[in-house]
Amino acid sequence: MSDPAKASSTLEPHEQTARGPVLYLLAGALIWLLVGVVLTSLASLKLHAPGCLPFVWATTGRLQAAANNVLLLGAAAQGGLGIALWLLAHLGKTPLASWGSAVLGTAIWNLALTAGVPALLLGGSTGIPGLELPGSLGLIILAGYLLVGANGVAAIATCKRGGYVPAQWFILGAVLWFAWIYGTSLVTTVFFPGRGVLTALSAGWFTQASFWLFLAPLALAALYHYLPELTGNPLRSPELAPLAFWSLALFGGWTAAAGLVGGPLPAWVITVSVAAGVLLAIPVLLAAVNLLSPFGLGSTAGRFAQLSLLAFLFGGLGKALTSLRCANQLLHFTRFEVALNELLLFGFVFGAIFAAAYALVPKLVGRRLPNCALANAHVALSALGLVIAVAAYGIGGWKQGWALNFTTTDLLSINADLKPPLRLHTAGLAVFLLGQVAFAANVVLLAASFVLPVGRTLVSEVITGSAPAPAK
Amino acid sequence: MNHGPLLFFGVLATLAASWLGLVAVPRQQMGNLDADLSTNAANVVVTHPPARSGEATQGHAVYVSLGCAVCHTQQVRPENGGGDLARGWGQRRSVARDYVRDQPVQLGSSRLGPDLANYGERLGTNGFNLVRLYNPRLVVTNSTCEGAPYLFDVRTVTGEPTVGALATGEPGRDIVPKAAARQLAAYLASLGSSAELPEAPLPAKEEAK
Amino acid sequence: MNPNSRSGFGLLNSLLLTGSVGLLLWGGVYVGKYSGRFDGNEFSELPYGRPANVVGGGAAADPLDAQKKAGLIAYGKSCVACHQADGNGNPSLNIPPLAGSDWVQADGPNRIIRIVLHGMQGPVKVSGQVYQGNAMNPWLKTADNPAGLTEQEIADVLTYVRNSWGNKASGVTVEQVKAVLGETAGRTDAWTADLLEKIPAAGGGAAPAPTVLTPDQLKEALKKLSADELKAVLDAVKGN
Repeated sequence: MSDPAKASSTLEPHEQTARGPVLYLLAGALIWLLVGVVLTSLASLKLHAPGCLPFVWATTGRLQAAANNVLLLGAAAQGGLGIALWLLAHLGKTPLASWGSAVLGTAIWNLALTAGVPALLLGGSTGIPGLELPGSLGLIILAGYLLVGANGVAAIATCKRGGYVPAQWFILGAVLWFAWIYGTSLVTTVFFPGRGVLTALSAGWFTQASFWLFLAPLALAALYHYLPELTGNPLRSPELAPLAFWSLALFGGWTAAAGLVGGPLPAWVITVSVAAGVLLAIPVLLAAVNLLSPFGLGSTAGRFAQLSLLAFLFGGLGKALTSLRCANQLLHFTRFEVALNELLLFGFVFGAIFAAAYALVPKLVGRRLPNCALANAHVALSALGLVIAVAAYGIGGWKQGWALNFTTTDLLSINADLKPPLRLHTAGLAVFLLGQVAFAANVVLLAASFVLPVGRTLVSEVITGSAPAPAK
Repeated sequence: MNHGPLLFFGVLATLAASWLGLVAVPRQQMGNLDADLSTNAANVVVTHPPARSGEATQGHAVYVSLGCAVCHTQQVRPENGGGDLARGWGQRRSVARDYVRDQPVQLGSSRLGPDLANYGERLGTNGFNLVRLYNPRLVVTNSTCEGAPYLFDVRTVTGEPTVGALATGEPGRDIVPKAAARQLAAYLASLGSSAELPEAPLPAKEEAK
Repeated sequence: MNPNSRSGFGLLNSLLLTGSVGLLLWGGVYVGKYSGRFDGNEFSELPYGRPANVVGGGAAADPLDAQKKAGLIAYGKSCVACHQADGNGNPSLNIPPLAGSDWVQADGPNRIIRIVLHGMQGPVKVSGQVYQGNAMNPWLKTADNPAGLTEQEIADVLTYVRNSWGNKASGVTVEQVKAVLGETAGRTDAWTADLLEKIPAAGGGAAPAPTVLTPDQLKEALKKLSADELKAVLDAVKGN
């Protein structure tokens, strides 16, 4: 069960310029993913073992804030951008405008985030959900992002293809949108905050838009490119692709108050967000119909891509349904919302990034990932851990919501009933983490096979039983 | 879809529309919201929301710093929006004016613990607040709250106990709240938003039979 | 699947497009109807459907439901600070529990109504354990005690307490509270466990019609009184 495509050992000249920045972004993304999953697992642990880690730097709030920022701004953003830069160079047949600026941007981005994690754990949080990093670090990350993203925009502008494919539209949208989303959100929440609940509304706009208009388009770009390649079939209905893109563009930014339904906001803000949330089922269905393929793709990349698409379909439809006020009153403030967010982040976004990485990295470095067993473990443990965690929170959250809103059961009994799902969720995250560790081990072995010329043969022979594919 | 300029324009226009619609317009509508006059239960005219004491304002910063909003919300939903009013977490739904003095607001997004919007009105003066912050399980046996033991000093003393030490604790070992603990307790005791406002009438009460 | 065949999916496309247009129409109507005229001061969208907190089936589901809900609110205002949200009280502070308490789950509420009306002091044995060194305040709303509970609230909170945390007992009506108030008119002292144990937990309710006692019945009744109470009766008689 190895990658069906042999590691192609030839990169076009224009693709070679992208190799360094893309590998740097993907490597950073992997490290941030490991850090983020560890942090979120610790936060999940503290929910059912509150006496654990009784330190001021390890409160649940601080751990969760650090985890969210690392996963969003570190792992998902960098992983998605890495894939995006590659796809633009590959599809557009155009070299990266400035290798140096992309690497510099990534470097200052990583530096700022590395400073950000201890800053958050030691109490420097801004207190704004989704934008907890101190404002100065946020600005540095924005600068790094602009340096990287400018390369992407330039690549699209100089595209020599004679027309754009869906993946390129989604990437252009994502790269341009996030610059405005992050920049203006920093201004309207951290630097010149509005009074009272306006901060919460702006923060909600940031969180929702950075998923629907940044991470989702990047992941969809990867799926739109790689799924047809992996299944061998073209898009089912190419005319639906522009509809999927434009409906996502139209509705994606209007769900700002989807996490504040019933809250202290004017009715029209909530109504608009609810309507947009439901209407986002349109791009979800359109994209899924285009890309769904029969089960049983053999390669690791293929399996991750299918996992990602299924997570998008169920998570996206779940989000659309839970936008409705009647469902929202049951499920708001419960673990169910967290389950949907995790399904979409870990299943959809990271699944797509992994799929693209497995298809892409062998091409970039000229040799396959050395260990098939570790790759299989990555897919299996990621899927298993995700299913356990999401199901635990989904079912537990549903019961929690019912008891909170439709009975007079006291909160302590509700929380006592919630403890088994909380524990199961931590266990699921631990399994998921194990899968990522397997992937990291595989990557380390791959890197080792370059660094140790003598050991290279040894490593490959011991692990795979065959000599590695020759470097290009 | 091959038109580069059309793509660029469409991408920018759609985002501009949503930003204007849900960030700029609400800011224009609510950006100048301020405290208003209201009449409290004893028929005294008060401003709502009331100004916080200095200690309570610092307590808000402690609340933000510890990240309590990950488990506690501070918003009461309307009667047709959830079970908040039935649970006695407030006398009316929360509205934007209740939060004009909060920077940043801590609305919360998850209820693993009770809603705190009216905590001060419910339990503010019961005298257990500091013990509850030290170890919630001393006050509520099966509480899942992690508490904030690091906001307290544990001192061994001989002779008279320290002034301000908590009532719990073994003889000779005093648990003394630090400034941050007092501030947080003051902040929690200040939470309350049941004053009637023009945009937020109190629900009609049933007459006692 | 023939990659070049699209004939089978014309229907699917049409369905998707029709569905999308339908959703758009729904969205437009929804936004138009429930936006409160886009007023920044309007926080309530028009009500939709039925109110949230009706447990399916309405009153038939649990006749005590309304009282339990009101009782939860009254409990939160007054009792939770000492007796805790889980009804377990606080043994270290000599606050007896309500969950699983034999006092709470007695056949009738006559004793616990009295405790809430006038308070309690002195040692009390609850579920096998003795609690002493603490006292409970009276909770009836009067001119001197404006933060107290009304008679309806007392009935509701006792219904809630008798039916929560595993307790199973009958509800308490406001008529029962009023009857006890009538029977104990003029009382200002707190109750003690000894006094309360003399009063039957159940029975009474509406004030019974006054009975005429024979002299022997009167003597029997007077013998049951304690010295203080006898003195009080004699004083009252002499005062007339």
